[in-house]
Amino acid sequence: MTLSQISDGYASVIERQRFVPNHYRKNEIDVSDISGFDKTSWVKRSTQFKTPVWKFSYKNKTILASKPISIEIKKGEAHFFAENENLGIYSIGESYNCAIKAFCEELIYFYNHYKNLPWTRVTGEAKRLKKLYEELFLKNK
Amino acid sequence: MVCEIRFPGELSIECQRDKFYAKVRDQYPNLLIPKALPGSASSLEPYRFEDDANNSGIMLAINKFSFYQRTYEGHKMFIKKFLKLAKILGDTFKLNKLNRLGWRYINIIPFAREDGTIPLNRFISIGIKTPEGVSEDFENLSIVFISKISEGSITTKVEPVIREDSQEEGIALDFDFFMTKELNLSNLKEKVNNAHMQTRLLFENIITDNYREYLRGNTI
Repeated sequence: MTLSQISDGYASVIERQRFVPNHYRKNEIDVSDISGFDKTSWVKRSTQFKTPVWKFSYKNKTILASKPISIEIKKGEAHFFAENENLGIYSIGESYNCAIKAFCEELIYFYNHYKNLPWTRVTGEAKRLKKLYEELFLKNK
Repeated sequence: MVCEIRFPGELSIECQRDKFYAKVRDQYPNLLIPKALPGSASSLEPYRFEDDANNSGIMLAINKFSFYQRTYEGHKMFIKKFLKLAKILGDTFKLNKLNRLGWRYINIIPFAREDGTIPLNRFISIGIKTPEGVSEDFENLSIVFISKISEGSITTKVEPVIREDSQEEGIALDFDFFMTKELNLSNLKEKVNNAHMQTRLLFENIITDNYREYLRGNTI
């Protein structure tokens, strides 16, 4: 899904919330909630945050994680970085979505790489990663 | 996180706001004056007093008072600070009764889309049954409902939000618990603790076990 399509989705929701058919009005109950707070400005500005992801897709391949994979997103001057130190993945993209997409691509690549690597050919860090990838992920058929 | 009390309009607040400010300005020195909005009564728009970190603050109008934190430091510290400020309010102005107590908790859960849709069911357990032929994988949604619960009502809002600068998306869980009965400054502590518990319970019940485990650190 492109950023433009995602933005259009938000605009559609707002437009539908405003729409009321002719001769009707919204039966708005006075909820008197605590007002005066805009959610988007509510969150302190940060150039770094983490998000859990369970499903990774790239082209026609999808793998699922048995535990959430925490992807750390950092915003640089011109690019976004999506990282997971434990899995040894450091991706970059021009946008938030591109960085996530690049992360998925790399994760699927490394999943296949370590899965196909025989145990006799791994030592140290490679052995740790192979164990992690084999235990954590499952190919989605 | 916001906690608010409302009361019958007290005009002395309009004229003696400085007396309250003098008692809190050491901690909340930044003064934010409300803008004049067409069609709204300026006395009902709250003044804000914020700390230097722009994290915590007070909102005060002639009929309402609230304390908020953008980064929540936990209910014990939050309630302690709120009650301390409410006492200062009660000592400064004559408030005979309270109309409403509100406890609003907004949590934004960052997410990454899966196949272009919002992975709602990974994070929260709200059952949405769609008709046959309509997918339950949503590209966008907005849900608001008000429910009666013990001692009050709670407004729950679930919708995705997107940051304009970074395009990062998150699911905004917005809970607003309120009660209107048997409220006064002397029983405020008990009522505020109850409000916190009700909202906490809803949050614990609405998030999935998988997300709860993630919050506890069970992640890679």
